[in-house]
Amino acid sequence: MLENNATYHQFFDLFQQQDHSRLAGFEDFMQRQGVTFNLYKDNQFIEQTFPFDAIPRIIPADEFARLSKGLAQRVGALNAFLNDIYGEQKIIKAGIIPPDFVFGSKAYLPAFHGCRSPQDIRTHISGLDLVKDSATNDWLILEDNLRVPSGASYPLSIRRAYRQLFPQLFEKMPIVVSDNYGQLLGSMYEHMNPGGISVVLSPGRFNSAFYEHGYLARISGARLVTNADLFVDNNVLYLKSFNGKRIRVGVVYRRLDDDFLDPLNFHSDSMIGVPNLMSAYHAGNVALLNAVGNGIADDKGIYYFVPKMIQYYLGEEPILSNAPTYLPWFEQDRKFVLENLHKLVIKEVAEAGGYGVLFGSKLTQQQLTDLAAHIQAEPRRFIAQELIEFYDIPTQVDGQIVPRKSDLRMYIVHGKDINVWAGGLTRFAREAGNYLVNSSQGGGFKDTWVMGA
Amino acid sequence: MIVNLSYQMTIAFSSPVRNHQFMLRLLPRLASGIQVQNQQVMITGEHDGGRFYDGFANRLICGQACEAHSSFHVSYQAQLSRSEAPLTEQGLLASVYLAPSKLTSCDDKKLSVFVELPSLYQDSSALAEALSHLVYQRMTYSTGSTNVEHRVSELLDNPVGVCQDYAHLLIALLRYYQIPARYVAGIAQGEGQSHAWVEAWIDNHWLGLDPTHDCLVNETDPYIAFAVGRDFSDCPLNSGAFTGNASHTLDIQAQLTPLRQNQ
Amino acid sequence: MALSLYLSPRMADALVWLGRYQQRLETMGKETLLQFDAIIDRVPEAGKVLFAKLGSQLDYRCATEFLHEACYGQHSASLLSLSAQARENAIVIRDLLSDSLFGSVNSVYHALKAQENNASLDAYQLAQLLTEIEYFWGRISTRLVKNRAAQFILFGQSLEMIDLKLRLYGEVDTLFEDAHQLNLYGDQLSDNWQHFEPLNQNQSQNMNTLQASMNHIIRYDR
Repeated sequence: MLENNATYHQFFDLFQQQDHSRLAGFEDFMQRQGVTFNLYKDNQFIEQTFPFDAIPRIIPADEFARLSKGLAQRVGALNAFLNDIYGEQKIIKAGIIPPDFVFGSKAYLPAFHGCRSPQDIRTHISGLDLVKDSATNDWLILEDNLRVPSGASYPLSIRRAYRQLFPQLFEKMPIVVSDNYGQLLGSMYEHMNPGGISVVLSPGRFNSAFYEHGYLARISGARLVTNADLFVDNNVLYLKSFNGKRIRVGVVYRRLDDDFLDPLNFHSDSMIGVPNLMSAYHAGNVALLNAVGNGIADDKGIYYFVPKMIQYYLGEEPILSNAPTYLPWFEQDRKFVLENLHKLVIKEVAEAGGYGVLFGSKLTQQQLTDLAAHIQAEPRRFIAQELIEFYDIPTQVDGQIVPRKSDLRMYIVHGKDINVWAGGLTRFAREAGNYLVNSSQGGGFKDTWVMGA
Repeated sequence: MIVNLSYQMTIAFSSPVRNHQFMLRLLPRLASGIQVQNQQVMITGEHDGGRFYDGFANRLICGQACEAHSSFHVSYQAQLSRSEAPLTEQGLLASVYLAPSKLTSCDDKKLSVFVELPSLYQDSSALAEALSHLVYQRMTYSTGSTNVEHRVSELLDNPVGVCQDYAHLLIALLRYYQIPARYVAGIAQGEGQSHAWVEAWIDNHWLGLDPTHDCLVNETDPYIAFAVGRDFSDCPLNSGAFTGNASHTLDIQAQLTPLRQNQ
Repeated sequence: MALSLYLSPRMADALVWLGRYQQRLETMGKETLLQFDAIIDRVPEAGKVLFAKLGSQLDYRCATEFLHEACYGQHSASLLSLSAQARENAIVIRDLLSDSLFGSVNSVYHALKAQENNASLDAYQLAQLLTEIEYFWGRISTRLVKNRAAQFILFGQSLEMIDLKLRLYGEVDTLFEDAHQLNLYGDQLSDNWQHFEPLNQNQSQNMNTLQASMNHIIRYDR
């Protein structure tokens, strides 16, 4: 079903008056500015532009206000959960989360138990994925990304081109400016900084999101570095200077996973990490954004418990709901899942990026039987969700405007306060009826327009 | 128990290295009930500071030796005493040590075939001891046949290895019976080199088991723990990275001498 | 912004090489157009002579073929390869460049690349691309405050200018102005910059001094 509200009408009225030959400007812009993501295909390195559709997702002011509150609440609870899991582990002792769901996860890092993140903030930059349910007209959280959520640079970059190419839309519609994302990051760095400059640590030029790393460094006032630029001496992290001097680094917005951060503490064969970085972290001389070990909070098995975390840590009712989810690990849920397998979406806990997702309705009888056997044998490995009929958004495909499933990733920056950025990455599926919008599944992106009051 | 512990650890490089960053777990683990007196530690190129605790309450020494060097030394000497009270640590919940870990995870079915326990055991301690004895019986000790990344799944097919492998196999078996179990690295009397054994969480304390020597590790026995973890990969005694194209060999020569028994 | 002072050896190196490759691309592009004319005017060897000075052997039968070989030939001095090198250096220090500077480097590469399999790139199009490179220099020098990153790029430009003059023309007399520029930037970037003085006779010594000069401003080893 197509999402519809008065603002979309206003948009289309104005959009139709525009000179559509100017749409080609978006592709030019992205190519000139190198707005690309990198990938390897058949062993070849390719720089690819992310397919863009000019019809935005539009979020009315009142909806954004509610989303803002709900997302800030959720991130607050997830942060409290991380502090607890790497601290007292009260939520496990209280019996709210079974220990197996935490300790059995690869993302849980007991080696960093008791290691506090500066100011007890761990969720500095989160990307929460939402969809809008067409049955209830309500937003649902699909996924929390608390490790290295990517993608903010695409709507940020394209907004500048959009304003240049179609200024009337921005003059006539009360679209909230989104270019404050760099400032949000910058003031968060400042709040976290134990002393020194800020850097964005990238795995390097061939990483899929390298464009984003440089872009975010520039707009947030950080230096883009790779591990070769950094070294640790006496528990302090430094940038090597060209003149042989050293410059202290206080904040590392790291764009690499925990496993690769420091070969002494994680994968010993990591060629992209900084040896002994964790000694500077232990000593409190450097803030790592996001904190080490966050993966446990965005584990698919933990997702189920986030509403309970909100109640437990904040004493509040969740403003935004999860998609209805079942954990086969619980006997009662398992019974329901096995009986309703044909209409549920089954996800493997350990997979990400749209991999390991099975739609029960599309499986043959044999496949359903096999899946049921897998679930019975290893219930901890799976979660099951009801299929959400989320809205389509009008999308231009080959010159036609057609409905396409779209989700939304919103970015939350947690420094002194928890700020929800008034923009976001809207991803759409390229084929009709496809529910998977991930870029790794060939999806494209749209800008996200938050309307002012 | 009061002992004198001294050791020399040497890493020899085949050619000089620079910018050598190290992280060592070579200090007695206080959380294991060990008290330290008259401690002297000397480390190549070490600055002050750089002493931390990891999440398993192991003590870390982090530092760097930047100048070119062909060998790296740690020499240690101290008087240690160990509390005889049962080891009941706070901190991490024991259930952390219940889930399969990197080196111990394996197919449950293969494990059950491997075990073939002769009878039912009335309590967990007896079961743990029986499992330790089973590991001792089934494994063949052989140095140089395995490396530090050797996994239990490989041991089930070919039960040959050193103390680390014995420990990993026992940990996998204990967890299979839902007994939390952890890996302990340290020094034991008579070993000369570093040693590895196991602790099992039974009746709210850690029970020490040494499957390599087919014995229990009592609080009065001369075993000094440096580090614990879910398996070896959580708590290597030495981790390092350096600039230079060199291979290296590590050697520890330790002496553990009992002074006298506690009164 | 104070942050612009903080550059690692890797970044400084990439900035210098960005300046060098941009300059080499510009000079070789202009020379290519000159020799293109010369070939038309029946000096068929002109293009071969030019590229041989940079160590590339070209093979062509007419001016159009020369143009294509100069742009896309399998040799390290092809304009596409120079442009790709400039772009690679720009990509790794993306955060130090404004959008217009980066866009300028990147668009030249894409414009060249787009014509690679289409033998129809003509001299007029090439001339247009060269104007884009002129804009690049213009955009650096019109900035109100020349930050350190710009100094490194301009240092690279001066260095390459001298290098090319030595290689292409072997004229020491014309180098004094460029040497003055290079020394100006060298002094800005390092306290112990050793002034480059072109020596009248010894060509290879001039080249060696020049090559070693980067080590005076960038401390590579740590």
